[in-house]
Order: sequence, then structure tokens, then C-alpha cells
Amino acid sequence: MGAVHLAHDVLDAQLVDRAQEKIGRVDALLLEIEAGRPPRVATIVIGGAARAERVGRWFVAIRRAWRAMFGQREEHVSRIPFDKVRRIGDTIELDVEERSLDSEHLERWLKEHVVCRIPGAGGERK
Amino acid sequence: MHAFATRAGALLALGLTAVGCGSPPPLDKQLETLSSWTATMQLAREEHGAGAITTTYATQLRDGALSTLEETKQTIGQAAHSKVDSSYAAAALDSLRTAIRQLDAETGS
Amino acid sequence: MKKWSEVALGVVTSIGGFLEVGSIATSTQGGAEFGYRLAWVLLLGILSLAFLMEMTGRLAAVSKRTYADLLRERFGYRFFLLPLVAVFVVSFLVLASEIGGVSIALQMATGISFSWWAIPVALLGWALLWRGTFGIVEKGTALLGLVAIVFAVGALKLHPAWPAVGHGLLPSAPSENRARYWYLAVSILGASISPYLYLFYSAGAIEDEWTIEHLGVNRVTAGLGNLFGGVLAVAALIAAALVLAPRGIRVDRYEQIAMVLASPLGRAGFVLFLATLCITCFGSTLEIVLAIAYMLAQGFGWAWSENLKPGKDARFAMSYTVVILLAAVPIAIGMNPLALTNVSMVATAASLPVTVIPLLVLMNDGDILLNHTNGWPSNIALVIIALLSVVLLLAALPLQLLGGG
Repeated sequence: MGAVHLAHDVLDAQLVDRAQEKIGRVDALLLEIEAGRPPRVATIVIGGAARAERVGRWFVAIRRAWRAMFGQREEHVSRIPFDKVRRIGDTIELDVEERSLDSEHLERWLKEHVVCRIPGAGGERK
Repeated sequence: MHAFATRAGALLALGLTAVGCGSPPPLDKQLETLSSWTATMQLAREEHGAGAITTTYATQLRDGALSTLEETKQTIGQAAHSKVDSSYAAAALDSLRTAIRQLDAETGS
Repeated sequence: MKKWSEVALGVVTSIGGFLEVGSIATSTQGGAEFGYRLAWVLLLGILSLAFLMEMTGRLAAVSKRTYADLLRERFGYRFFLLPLVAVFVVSFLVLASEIGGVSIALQMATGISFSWWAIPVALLGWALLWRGTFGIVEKGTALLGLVAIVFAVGALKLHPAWPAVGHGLLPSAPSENRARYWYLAVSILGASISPYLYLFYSAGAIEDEWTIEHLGVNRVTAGLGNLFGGVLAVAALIAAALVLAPRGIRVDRYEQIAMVLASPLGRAGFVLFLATLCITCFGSTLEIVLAIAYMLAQGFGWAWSENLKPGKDARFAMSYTVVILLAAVPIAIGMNPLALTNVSMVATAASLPVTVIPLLVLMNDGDILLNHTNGWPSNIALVIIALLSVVLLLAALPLQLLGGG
């Protein structure tokens, strides 16, 4: 790969897993800073908390209050090492499985507890 | 950011209040509403007579006219400030009442 | 050959799609109160929408991403929240109005009050989205929506004076009732240029797997489709101008609009009016709730598609489920459908800048559009539409206060 513009090509890009399924967007990027060494891009972060932080403290507060209404305290954020990136193009392919991602928790929870209780929800394509 | 939000909120509240409630509309507006519904009743009578509209539907139009009549009866008194105004108001209310009655006769209700 | 059937479908979709509760209500109110004089506003709305749809369609065909995708990717999450919230709020109001449109049509047909119909209508819509594919939703509403042609038939039967209509297609300003005139102008534009329309169109291009080969189809669909659809809205305006205006009848309630077609076309016109109101509003209900769900899913990167079973895109499916049921509430509790429609049209007009101005950037980005970026005609059109959107934003609140019925 040649040079990659982090803000332009990576941040907010669509992520897909090994099976080409959508698994969210790059909500934040963490740089690893060690004394005596140049910073390097270490981690892709997926999750509502990371997104909220980018907006501002007031937004983080509103979000916390909103989630408290539903009794949500636990944050479901995925931190994926940058070396899991397979390809950067229209989407960013990661060498992970959707099953292993904490950020997909809501998707799995809804699927199990709500969606699949309603007839007609199962299967692949309509 | 904070100042903007406060100002926007005040403006929104003002806007919603003005849209929601307010002083009764001016006399000419109310007279227009009455004549509009009078004409609606007359057209409905024509169309019902020609079999173009159903009785069910004509009844709904009539109910609309009736509720407009009731509402306007309350507010038109406040807008009519002279004897001439009051006589216009009375005539307009009367026309609508008559038109509603005529539609009732047509639909047999 | 297949391309042309796609064009035909696209055009047909737009015909029925243009006419819905907002355009029916605003066009007939305009015709009843100002005769043909607001026709030029409709024309302006039609042309603007055609350009916007062609652009968001081109974005999707070339970049393989929807407009909502690109709003997040190119402008960042922080900025994205602005169009997200604006579109969500405004589209929700319009959605509630469309459910109101179906409910009022059913009330006029059966005599059962409109508020009783809101929840059943929402449930039926939900069921169709849950079980149906994008193709079914698209084609079904398109074909059934052709019933809206009855407006053209009715207008023709009333023998409008075509020179006078032509005159109305040229911009004019009245000497009296100015506030009311411009208020109706703003609401007509809000009814014609709705963000959910070009957002949905963009997502639909991805659902239908459009590629660069479809750019011609895109142009014809966006152009002809909206032209034909817009003609029906003009027909509604003409019919109201000829049936209601001469008698001094103003549209204060939805029920009065049916007379506009009952007059020239008798019982058939009345029945087809109810069918048109019912079907076009129902079609729009499905479109709007999908547009909202698409925007959420695409903005947050969830799996999404009307062609996937809900189990495969749970967050997307739950989004449209919750939204359609909540949107039934205003009508179910008896809110005045016409007042709701009027407010939502003006709100839509005011919200346009946040979804029009970003296009100025995206449509000229060679990374996204390769060598299909805007030519100067499209850019000029876009700048004009962007300026128009800003004017609408500034004028909306004052006009709502001064001219809102």
C-alpha cells in the first residue's frame, strides 16, 4: 500500500469483516505514543462512546443520560489492532469476525430478543 | 454555542405559541371562512344530487361545516366592532346555517 | 432492453411518487386561493427535485455508496449529526402526515373517524416492509400509484384556459394577500423538494445495484419521472382553481379536496380520488420510513437492505419498526391532519440547506465521482437550488407566523 490519508480514507469509513458483512464505521483512531519512538496508528475503535467523544463533552453527557433511561451502563466498544486491516478501498476490510466484536452487541441482542421473536425474520435473503 | 441554543429555543417557543393559539382572526378572515363553508355545502348538495358523492362523505363535510359554524359563532363576536360588522357577521352565520340545513335535506339526514 | 424496462419502472415510480399528501394538500390549497398563479412555484420545485435526484443517483451509481454514506464519510461524524437530526425530525413529521393522508382517505370512504385508522395503517406498512423486498415495495407502489393520473383526467375535463395556465407558469407576485401567497409558495416547495426523496432515491440505486452503466437511466428517471409526476400536481392545482376558487371555497379540511374531482368526473372521480390519496400516501409512508432507517443504518455503518431478512440487519429493521409505529401516534390521538401537513411542509422547506449544500462539495469531488463530476450546467443549477434553500430557511418561520392559515 502507498500512503494512506488517515482522516480522509480511514476515519468514518465503512468497515467489513472477513465475510464482507458490514460491522460499523471507524469511529475513532488511537495512536500509540511511546517515548523515543514515532507515534504509530495502533487501534481502530468502533462504538457509540467513541463517536460521542468526537462531538464534545455536552454530547457525551446527553448520551449518558439517554442510555441511563434504558438502564444501559456498560459500553460496548471494539478496539481492533490496526494490523488486522486487510485492505483499504471503498470499504476497509478487517480480518475479524462479526461474532467477536463487542460493538455488534446491540445487533446480536436485538436479533435474539426482538427480531427473531417476530415471524418472518429468519433466513438470509427475502 | 450555548447562547445560540438559548436564542433558538426562545424563538421556537415563540413561534409555536403564535402558531398554536392567538387572538381571534380578523373579521374579514372569519367572514371568508363562513362563506367558504357555505359554498362548500352548496357544492356538496349539487354533487350529492348528481350522485357524485356518497352520503357518508357528505355527512363528514357537513360535520366540518357545523363545527366551523360553532367555533366561528364564539369568535366572531369579538371581531365585530360596529353595528355594520355585526350585521355582516349575523348574515354570514345565517347563510351557513341555511346551507347546512339544505344539505341535510338533500342527504335525507 | 433490460435498461429500458428499468427506465420505465423508474419513471413510473416517480409519477406516483411525486403526488402524495403534501403535494395534494399544498397544490389544491394554492389553486383554491390563488388560481393558476402559484403554478410556477410547482415548476420550480419539480426542476429542483429532478436535479437533486439525478445527482444523488449519480453519486450512488459511480461511488457505490449512498448520499447518507458519503455525508458521514466525507464530512465526519460531527457534521453528519446535523443533517441526520434535521432529516429525522422533518421526515418524521411528513411521515405522520402521510399516515394521516391514508387515514383521512379511509375515513371519507367508510365514515370511520381517521384517528382509528392510523395504527392499522402503520401495522400494514410495517408488515410489508418486514416481509417484502425492495423490488416489491418499489414496483408495487409504482404501479398502484398510477391511479393518480385521475388528476390529469379531471383537470382536462374542466377545460382550463391554457394561455392562463401558461401565464401561471411564469413567476409572479400578487398585490394583495402577499403573506399568504408566499407562505403557500414555501409550502409547495417543501412538498416538492423533500430530502427523503433524494436520500431514498440514492439508497434505492444501491438496492438495485446500479453501476456507471446506469447513468443514462438515472438521468431519464430523475428527469422524466419528476416531470410526469409534477404534471399531476399541476393538474391538482388546476382542478382546484376551476372547482374551488370560483366558488370562494378555501381548503380548511382534507374532506373538501375530494370535491375537486367529484365535480368533473362524478362518482368515478370521487372514488379514484380516495384511491389516489390512499395509495400515494401509503407508498410515501413506506418510502419515508425506509429513508429514515437507511440514513441511520448508513450513517452508523450497520448492515442494511430491504432485500435482507430482518434477522440479518436487526438494527435497521428495528429502526423502521419503531419509527413507523411512533409516527402513527399524532394521527391516532386525533391531531388535525391538514394542520400537521402544512407545518411539516414548511419545516421541510426550512431544512433543505443541510442536505443541499453538502452536494456542492460532493458533486465536484473527483475521488468520489471519478470523471462524472458536475458539469457547469449542473453546478449552476445546484448553486441556485442552494441559494433557494437558504432563502426558504430564512423565510419559513416569519411566513408561518404571518401566512399560516
